[in-house]
Amino acid sequence: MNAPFSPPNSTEPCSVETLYIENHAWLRNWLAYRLRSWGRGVADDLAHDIFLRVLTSREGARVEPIRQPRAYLTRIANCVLVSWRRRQSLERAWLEALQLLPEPEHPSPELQSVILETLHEIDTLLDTLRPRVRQAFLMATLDGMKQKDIAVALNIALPTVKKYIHEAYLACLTQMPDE
Amino acid sequence: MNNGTAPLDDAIPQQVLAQAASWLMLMQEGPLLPAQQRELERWRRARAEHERAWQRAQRLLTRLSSLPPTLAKQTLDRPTGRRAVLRGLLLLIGAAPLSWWAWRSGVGNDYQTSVAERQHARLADGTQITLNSDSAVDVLFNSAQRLLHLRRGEVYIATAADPRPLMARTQQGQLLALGTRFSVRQLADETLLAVYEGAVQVRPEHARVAPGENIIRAGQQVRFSREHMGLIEEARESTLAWRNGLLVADDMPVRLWAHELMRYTDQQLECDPALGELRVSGTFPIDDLPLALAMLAQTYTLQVRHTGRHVFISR
Repeated sequence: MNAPFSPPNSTEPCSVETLYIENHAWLRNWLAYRLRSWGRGVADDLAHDIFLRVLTSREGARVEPIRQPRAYLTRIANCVLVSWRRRQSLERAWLEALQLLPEPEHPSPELQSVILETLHEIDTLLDTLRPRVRQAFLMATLDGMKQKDIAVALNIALPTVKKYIHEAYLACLTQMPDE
Repeated sequence: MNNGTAPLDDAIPQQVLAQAASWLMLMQEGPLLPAQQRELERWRRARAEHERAWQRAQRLLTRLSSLPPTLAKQTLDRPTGRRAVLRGLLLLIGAAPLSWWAWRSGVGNDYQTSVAERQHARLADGTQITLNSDSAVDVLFNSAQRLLHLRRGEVYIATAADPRPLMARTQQGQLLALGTRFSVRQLADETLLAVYEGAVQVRPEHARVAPGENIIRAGQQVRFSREHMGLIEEARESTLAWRNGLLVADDMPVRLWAHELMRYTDQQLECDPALGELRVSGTFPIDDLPLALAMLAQTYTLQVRHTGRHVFISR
């Protein structure tokens, strides 16, 4: 348990291992405190998720040594936590929407998983947008409403609707990776 | 970089993305006129980054049009905020931490994985199963019962509520789930059952077990053969870390560590007998053997020698 910290400029691949061994328990506690109403299991799962991210993010060629392990882990942990919470609320909204539909009209379980993945992806892209912008965008793309109808529905000027939808499309295109 | 051959990892200029967004808006309002269509084609061909931006735009359109509009709108339009999020967990069925895996459904009713592969599936009744490396499960559901037949390897099962009983079968016997989360592993001559929620009733093929003594409860695990039930031991949630691609060792004999990791690789791991009863702790990746070995070697100052597919661990 006493693996030495790697020196700052070391090119040895030991920094990730050191990070694991010295900070795993600390990270679990950090998460358990923030997720205290949700039980230890969730914190443990997320701790795994975070280490997995550290692993994959350091697979690339340009790997810099980690100078402040806990600050580094906290940064990743916060991202994981935020995205996990967003996912929770998305799945809940999905189940609630589903309850409003009669059972025979439910998509098959397989299809539901695919839809949820896509929803999660779109939800992440739209995350930074203001509620109004998001609303106008969803009206245009999912409800298929014309811009002038959105203007009436939201009680805003047509140029504002155009500005909103453009802003939302741009946010999506900016964040999407090339395939 | 003005010749249109910018390397792919360059960011696309905002101005280009903004143009693509404008085209999307135009298409949103109605089909493009032939002249507009030609203009779009011309724009796309003008530069490599225009075409790249347009590929993204098309992908976005495909994603959006693949969604059932009403359900998607209600889901994405939800009020966001802490309170809404907090209430959410009550409705979840334990699927959340798996989100980084693509959900895959097997062909027909049978699922299998090869070495170093894992698979998550949601069955017709909502029950979720996860197959570990080199495992196979047949799913046999009818109007009276739900049966999961573990043919080899290991499966984690989170049952969904259903009037039909859910049974799991291995070479050594049958398990009846009593509303629960559990994992079943087929070993050489035994079955290892670990229960994390609810309870499971064990029925070894040929053993006579007094009623009540064969109920394994949350936090317990047991090994059983066709003839015998073993002692009930403590089950740890960390045993399930394989679902996240990890092996959590807590004071684990190094020989067992090597044995566990061998499930995920075609390489042979062997420990020097001189290592004796060395015990190891830590979290190790199961999909990256070189890294796992490096971590072990680093922490416990061991040597790792590779000879073809054979790996020898010593001091």
